[in-house]
Amino acid sequence: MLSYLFSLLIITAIWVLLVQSYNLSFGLTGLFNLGHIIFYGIGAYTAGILNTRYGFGFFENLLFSALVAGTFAAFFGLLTLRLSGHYLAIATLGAAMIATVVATNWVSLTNGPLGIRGIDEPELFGQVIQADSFGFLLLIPGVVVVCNILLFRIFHSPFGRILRSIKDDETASRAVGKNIFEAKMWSLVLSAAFAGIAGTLYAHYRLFLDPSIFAIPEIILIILMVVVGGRGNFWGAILGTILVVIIGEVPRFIGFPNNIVGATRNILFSALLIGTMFLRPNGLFTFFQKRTE
Amino acid sequence: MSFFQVSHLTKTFGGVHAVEDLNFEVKKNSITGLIGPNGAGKTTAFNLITHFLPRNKGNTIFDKKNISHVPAYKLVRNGIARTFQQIRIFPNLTLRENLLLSVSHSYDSWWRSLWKINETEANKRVEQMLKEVNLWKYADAPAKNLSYGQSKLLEILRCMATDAELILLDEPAAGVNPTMLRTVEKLILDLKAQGKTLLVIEHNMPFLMGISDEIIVMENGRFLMQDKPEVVQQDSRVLEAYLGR
Ligand SMILES: Nc1ncnc2c1ncn2[C@@H]1O[C@H](COP(=O)(O)OP(=O)(O)OP(=O)(O)O)[C@@H](O)[C@H]1O
Ligand SMILES: [Mg+2]
Repeated sequence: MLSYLFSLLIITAIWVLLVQSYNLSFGLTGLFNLGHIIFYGIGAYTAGILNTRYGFGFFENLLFSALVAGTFAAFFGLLTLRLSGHYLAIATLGAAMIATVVATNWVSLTNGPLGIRGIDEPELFGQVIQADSFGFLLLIPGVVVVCNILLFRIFHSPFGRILRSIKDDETASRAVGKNIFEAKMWSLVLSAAFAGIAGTLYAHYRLFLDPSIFAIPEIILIILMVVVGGRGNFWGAILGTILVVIIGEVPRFIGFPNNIVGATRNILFSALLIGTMFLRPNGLFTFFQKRTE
Repeated sequence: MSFFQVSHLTKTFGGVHAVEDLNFEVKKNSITGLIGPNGAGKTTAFNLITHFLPRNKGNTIFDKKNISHVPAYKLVRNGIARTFQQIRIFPNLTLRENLLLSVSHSYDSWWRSLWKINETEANKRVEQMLKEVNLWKYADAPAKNLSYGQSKLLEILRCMATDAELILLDEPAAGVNPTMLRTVEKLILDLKAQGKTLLVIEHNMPFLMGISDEIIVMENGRFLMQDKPEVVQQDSRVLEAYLGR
């Protein structure tokens, strides 16, 4: 039971970072990018490869996965950001599918479907922090909190305001002198860098990676968490993630047979998504936003 | 050379000649009206000047700078701001945020806009602007709650906040009640008093003739005439354009 709660906490923390990073590009800027999971996967693979082949540690990987995911996002943005709305969604969804194929078939880099095994546990001052130790419980959420503080700054900076103006009305934003393409690009790159860090956390927690990290259903889950929290709502994204994780655990917790847990979960998630969109299109946690009337 | 000059500006939509070989000049620190029947091409001309629409051809010179190829988002930095015939404010941003976005257009680099947090000065400016038009009490409410006329005021304020030298207003008086119209008029005259130059599209003739130094008339995408308001009002070609032949 304790180890179950333990892993739930770690996984939730990683989700919070991944979802908050998506909240920056999808929530705040309004980029309907369905390929966000690619940045997470690239971050995880960067950490896995750098660690198993070149001996990079956890902390170096935090930096390098952010750099690699961010750089990839810049190229990704050059190709896709000229598209808008549904076109962007379709192109980026296609990219996510390609990512799985690449991770499966580029065997020399990713070891294909067998995946990358034997990733090291994080080390701090020469001390290994084991994945079931108390230190780990401080380390992962600690990184997530630091990243969220940085993201909070971005959300509430004048730059964040520019991003919200783009979501509201691109033309008007241009009319007040904003370089839309540049702002969208940086929103995507920063968003990807944080997703890359989330990927590193995952890699050094699971110690094993395979191409399923790029799975499409994960994208839906991230969107669900942002929508439930309210697009662009900073605290909402955190609460939305926690709520969805808890709801996802309900079937197992009340003792559903293992073979229907997954299906039940999907039904609950779908109901939550549809319910939110119909009843609370601005998310369930609007009280965290400035009063509107 | 004049302050702002448009030459050979041309735009066709399929077969429609929306703007055809349009030429005119605007004097520094003047209020110039731009009139013409519905569909004459006035709004299209604004969109071409500000590059919200690509032009077929034509040059625009502003303050001795050729701005024929300056993209829309850079015009504010070059000292030109505009409003839209169909109001375009940021509905989900508060009034304060709507204005801060333009006051702080000095954050031209995204990097500075990321780290500059102290906006005390900018906020003071916003407060003063909103108080002047009696909207201060709504400063922290989303702009979508404003009435039509109030939204128009906000859009004009947003132009002013950019400190642009040339301001293009597309029908600032349309749909605005008489009391608020006086506020609009005051804003425009204050801008002129500060040395700004204004080009104003308007169908409300008494209003426009009252504030303008010069009037440009367009018809069917073309330049018809440009002169003092009292001359334009008497011109038979203008009457004909408006009343049909
Ligand atoms: N995006 C567009 N696509 C096709 N035709 C257009 C477009 N925009 C304008 N037009 C056409 O160009 C002509 C000029 O339109 P414009 O809006 O510039 O007129 P206007 O002088 O501003 O009229 P109003 O006083 O009614 O606002 C019209 O015939 C219009 O139908
Ligand atoms: Mg018009």
